[in-house]
Amino acid sequence: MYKTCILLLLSLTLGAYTSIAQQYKPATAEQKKEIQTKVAQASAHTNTLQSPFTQTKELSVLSEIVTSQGMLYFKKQNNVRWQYNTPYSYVFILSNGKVTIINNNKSNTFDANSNKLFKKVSEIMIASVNGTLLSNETEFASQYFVGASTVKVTLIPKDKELKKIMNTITLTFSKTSWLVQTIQMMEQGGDTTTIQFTQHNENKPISDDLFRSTK
Amino acid sequence: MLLYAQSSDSVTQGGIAVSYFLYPDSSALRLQTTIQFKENSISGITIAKFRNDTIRGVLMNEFGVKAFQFTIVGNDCKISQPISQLNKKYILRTLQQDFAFAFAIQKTGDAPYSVQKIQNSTERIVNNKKTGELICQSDIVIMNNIQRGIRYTFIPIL
Repeated sequence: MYKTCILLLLSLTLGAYTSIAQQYKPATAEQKKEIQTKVAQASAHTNTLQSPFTQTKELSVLSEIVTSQGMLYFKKQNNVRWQYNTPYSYVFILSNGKVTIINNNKSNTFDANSNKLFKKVSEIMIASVNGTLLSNETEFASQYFVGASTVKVTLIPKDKELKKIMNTITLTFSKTSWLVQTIQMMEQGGDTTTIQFTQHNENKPISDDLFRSTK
Repeated sequence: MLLYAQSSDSVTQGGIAVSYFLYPDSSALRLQTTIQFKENSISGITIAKFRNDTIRGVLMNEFGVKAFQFTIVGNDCKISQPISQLNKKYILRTLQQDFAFAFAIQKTGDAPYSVQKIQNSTERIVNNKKTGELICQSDIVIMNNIQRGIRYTFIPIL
């Protein structure tokens, strides 16, 4: 009886370790192709997307982790509303080449081209959300990993200027919807930003008003 | 409970002023921040904390990507890990000087600018013969470095 219990305990423990160790495996060439195809198909079928998100930012200089929550609204082609609800209310809108910030019920609009590097970061974020970043092999080298219910793609910038900001961007996709679940940006300085999308609502109507400076 | 109160009324010519911002004692100061230089600008969120006589902060864009981080002790500011656009000696020197002035708790005799009040909400900030301007409108702080043509806007995020 005692030996049976020990054996059972050992097999459960080994099983647990085995499942953790095999969580992600490097993708084969066929798997990589399948992932790219499925993500591209999901992206082509997604005209609008809304999702609550949780953003976690490690700030080594402040020795703390800053957590915020909000809503993402995306509408093709490149309309994004990044709305923070907690711990503060703050809205960032990118639409028609303009950036609008809404803070304290006041809005401020300026040309997205006024900062090329931050504009690039915004474009990367949009491409991460709508899945088109995977097809950008000109600007990023990539590594693909397959798990039980998700796949992970780690992208490494090739551009010299972008490399100075970002070490890697890792996207996690659901194998059910092939939409991005998590975006993790690792900076050169060691700080990490993780954005987790908790509930995708695809192709529901989104009013153009949400991407205007008055909202 | 707030540590330091904004008090532009207490400014005297060439004298000591208290911080233009309210530093919460249990959380971070958050400011919508725009740095405008001719047709270029950086916008994002500054998060700063005051602990043990030191102000530590970071300016990052809305997605959390850092433009730079800074540490202020007394009236000295050190910027580190700047993005490449800002990583030039003359730019860093100006940013350090201006951030030191805007964020320091108390501006003492060795502050980069001395302050002269012009009218109710506007103060002239002077550095030798070069001048700047600092405007406080309710909670908004606008700082113009006239010599360098740089305009900083800080708006609290509540």
